[in-house]
Amino acid sequence: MHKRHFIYAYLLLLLALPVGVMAKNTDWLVVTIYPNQGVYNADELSKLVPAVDSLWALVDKKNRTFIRNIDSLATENTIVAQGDSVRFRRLIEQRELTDSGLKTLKSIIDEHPLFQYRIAESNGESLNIWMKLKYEYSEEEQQHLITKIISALKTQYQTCLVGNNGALDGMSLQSVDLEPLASGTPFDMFQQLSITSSQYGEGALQHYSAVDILSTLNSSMNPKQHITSSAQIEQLYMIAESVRSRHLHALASPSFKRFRLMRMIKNGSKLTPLSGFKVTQKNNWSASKYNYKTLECRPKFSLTKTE
Amino acid sequence: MIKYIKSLAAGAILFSSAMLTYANSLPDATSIIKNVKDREQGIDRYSEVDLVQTFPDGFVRSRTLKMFEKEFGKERKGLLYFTAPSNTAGTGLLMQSYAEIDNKEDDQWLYLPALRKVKRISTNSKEGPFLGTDFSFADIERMKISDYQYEFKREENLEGSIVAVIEATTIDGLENQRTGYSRRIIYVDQEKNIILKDEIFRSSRLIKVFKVLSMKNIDGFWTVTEAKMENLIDGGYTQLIRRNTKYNQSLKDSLFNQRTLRKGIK
Repeated sequence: MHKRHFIYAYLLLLLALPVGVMAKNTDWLVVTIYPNQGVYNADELSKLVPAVDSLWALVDKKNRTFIRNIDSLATENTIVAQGDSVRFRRLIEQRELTDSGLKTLKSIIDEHPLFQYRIAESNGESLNIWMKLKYEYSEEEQQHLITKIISALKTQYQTCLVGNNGALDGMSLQSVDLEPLASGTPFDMFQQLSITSSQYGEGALQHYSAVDILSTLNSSMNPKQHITSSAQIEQLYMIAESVRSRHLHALASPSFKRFRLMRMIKNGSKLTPLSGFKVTQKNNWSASKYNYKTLECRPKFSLTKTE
Repeated sequence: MIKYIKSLAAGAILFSSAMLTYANSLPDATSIIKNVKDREQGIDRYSEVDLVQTFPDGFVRSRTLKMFEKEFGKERKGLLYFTAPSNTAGTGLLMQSYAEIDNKEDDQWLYLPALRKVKRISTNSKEGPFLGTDFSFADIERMKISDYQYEFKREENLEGSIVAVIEATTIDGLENQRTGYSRRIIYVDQEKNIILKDEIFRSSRLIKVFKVLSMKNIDGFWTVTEAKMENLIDGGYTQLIRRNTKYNQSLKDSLFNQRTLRKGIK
């Protein structure tokens, strides 16, 4: 083959490869806190809000704030059904920090597909603060940033011990970005997405997609009916945007042409074949000493765990 | 020595009285914001509104709605009724805001035609994006003076208009539970009592910038005809374009109820 033809052929081959299907490491920094009195305690939750709030102001070595988003008990909202009303609420609301309010909060977390496991463990012992970074950083830079985060959190959690081993050890938060193989109505898309999400979630501790957001919303607003039409999907989507547009837009773009599936799974699990969609990007976050720290505040651990 | 102390004390008195005079001569920021809130807008008004949202990836989505508002003494009722695109047409939102002194959460009722149900939306948190746009529910609702404390910073020329620059902060410096904002820098056109620009902060982050792009005097009332909310966190922006605005149309009280929401507006 002529050398120039060979180069053209090589370039064509590169273009023909599915772009970005190699797994990309996701830029999350995560802290697990083991509160002294457990997660579902009014004092502990009251303390968490200013602690998380203080993280936004942290800056990197270039003096830039570096956190894009925070997923945590202190930052998320939800919708709860109350008879003929639906209530948009923050997960932590001061007036809800009563015994019954705390029980309700625990059941919201344990049952919500987006929160369960990822935000707090169901045994009520630990909570996770997931911080998405604005910029790309090396592992060493990430380690520097998470050390800063820990120092900021320590102003509220002074007596807690810093560690590297916690609930997320050996776990991966993974996602795949998808584009539909064929065009269809929003209802067709969501039916297929539901099937594909189940395939992706096989063996996972937690998995979710935009279908879960819309189904949860539908069951709050319309408990006796299933989603059966594109109009229903588009109207629920419009309402869901009012509570969690950031998650929703990432999981299903407003054009309904890009989707994302998420799962929390043990390290080393394989990706099963997915039907109906083309995978355009895989993302993976696994706990390491660079991106993961724990704050152990339970008294019984104070003498055994330290860094 | 005594003479020295006396002159020092006299100086201190003079300085503090000068400071007091200066402080007294500064415009009262809270009054300026109150004037914005209580701006004359007639008994009722009607507009057609386009919400044009440009997402960070360039995708543009447009929604059209009819907006009705009416004053009921110190209370205000509003009805938003979506007319396009077809999949969301017929969706309606009825809002009732109460006098601030009553310290009562605003009421909202939502009608989704696909579910054929009116649902009361109960919340004290209005920080969520208004139907997915870059405006929040708090941004489109009637402002509450008590959300922040206000400080006059300076007067400046903002693109041809003389504006009072006011800093609004929460008392504890944390996010306001209703709006989700902790600080705002508000640029008020005092002649028209309209906010021309609003820089919105959550903690120390500038998260959104609101700007009035055009306004018109309609039936004797200054009306914002185009505004833009820029989202600095996720990227993208939403333009709010108001057309066919009419004031004092003698809108019926019965327009602002759940039955209208369910039946729709022709």
